Amino acid sequence: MKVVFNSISKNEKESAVINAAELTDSIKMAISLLENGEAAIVGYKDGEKCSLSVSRIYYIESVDDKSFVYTKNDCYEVRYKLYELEDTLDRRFLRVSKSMICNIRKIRSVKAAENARMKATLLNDETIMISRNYVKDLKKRLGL
Amino acid sequence: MERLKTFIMTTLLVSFLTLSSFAIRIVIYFAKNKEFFMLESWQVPAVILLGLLTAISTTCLLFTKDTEHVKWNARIAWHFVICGILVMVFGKLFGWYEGIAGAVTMFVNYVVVYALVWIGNFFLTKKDERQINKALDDIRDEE
Repeated sequence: MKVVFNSISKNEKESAVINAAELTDSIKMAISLLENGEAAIVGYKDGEKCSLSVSRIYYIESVDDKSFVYTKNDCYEVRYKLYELEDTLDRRFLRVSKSMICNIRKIRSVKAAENARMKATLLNDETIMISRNYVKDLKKRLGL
Repeated sequence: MERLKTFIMTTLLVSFLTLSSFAIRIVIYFAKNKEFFMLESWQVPAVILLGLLTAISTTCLLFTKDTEHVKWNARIAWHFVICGILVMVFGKLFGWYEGIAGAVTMFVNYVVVYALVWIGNFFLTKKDERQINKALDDIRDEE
């Protein structure tokens, strides 16, 4: 999509216009980011559509070709592939295994596990495994 | 790529440690007899071959992606046994030890080196763990 940026003076009201054939999920995400200062993705729970602000997401897992977003207490299905989400989401999110992306701000602590992996305990007490290859990426992301 | 890196690193590490043990033996021999003994030229390729075989064992047993297929402790046990057999067989074939006393000394050396590698690895992982937890403290969302 072509993006046009027009610079305006400080006393003018900021606005954005999106010209598109249809309101896709990606556009909804962009609108949420512009309106609320934070991106949101569309999730489905019990067939109902809902908007999930990115800061609520703990981790995203891919199971049998479907992606699921986990918040503190809930799980939503999303219609994106994991690699699409990985490209879209900001630097809070990091791939921790082949089938999982995690919000690193939701990790309470990590503990060394077998095979050079790390076991991460999240703020909601759930535990996830960080694969050996991705431990390096986590360290890099944290500036270590 | 990661497995290839592990394979090469293990080959180099095992070859280096084995050659280092020869160097220590030469120094001890010199201290006792005031003369050097020289390694035969074919000993170096033998050491590298041992490095390659232990690297194959390490890559296949400890660096596979399917970690649940065989339990981790069982993998370590197999790795210890296979590498131990390789060291002892190579030692016998290439004359790195003589007699039962020599075999026992060689095996004890192997156990000590094996344990040291794991202990070193344990402390490095713990260091990573501490560093990551400290860095996470600075960015963590409020509960």
